[in-house]
Amino acid sequence: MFTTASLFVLGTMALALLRAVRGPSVYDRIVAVNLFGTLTVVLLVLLGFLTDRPEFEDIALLYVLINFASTIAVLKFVKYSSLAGPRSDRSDAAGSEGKV
Amino acid sequence: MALVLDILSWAFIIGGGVFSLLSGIGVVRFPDVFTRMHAASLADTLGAGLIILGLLLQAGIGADLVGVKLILILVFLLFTSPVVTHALAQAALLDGERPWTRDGGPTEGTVDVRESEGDAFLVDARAPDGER
Repeated sequence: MFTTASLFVLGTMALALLRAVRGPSVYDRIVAVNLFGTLTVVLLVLLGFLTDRPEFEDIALLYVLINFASTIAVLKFVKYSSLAGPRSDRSDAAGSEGKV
Repeated sequence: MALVLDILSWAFIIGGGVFSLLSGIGVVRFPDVFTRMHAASLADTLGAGLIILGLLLQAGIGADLVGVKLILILVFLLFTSPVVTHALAQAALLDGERPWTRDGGPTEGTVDVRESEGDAFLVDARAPDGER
């Protein structure tokens, strides 16, 4: 059962990698890498059950959070060309967010 | 009882695997970023969700709090994946990616970033020096 599911997940990871290599825009690549990270979490959990070692769940739990933070960080870097956020000294941006 | 649980978790795990495979196929074959995002979120919710639910049926709460950790993983996935998808869609839209339509026309209610020069938020979100 766990082996079958792992094979499904591995196949999906290969497809995500294919999109990450081929993706025309950088956002395609970020989507693919995020999907790859999610599937890595699932694969880690399955691996914990396959090898009967519950420590893998801790690694998966950590990897969920790392995956989230890294995707947001890469996204910010692509969007603003820096990790610090938008370069601006304006203070009126907060009020106009509802328009988007 | 154990047999019923086994059959249920089989169904959940195989269902989750099939859903994640479908999501991978969608990510490869769909035409633009937004539709690919839609396909990728299938693996985040149904794929990972069903697999982890199936494993939860196998493990129970278990020794070493395996079940609790599985629930935590599921909760974190369900919280983080919509945030990432939303941020990604907004970034792609602000960067000028247009959603794919069958006839190539604009979608209903499209915000045209290039023409809304007065909008403070849109202007701010693009690179202010025009370096891209």
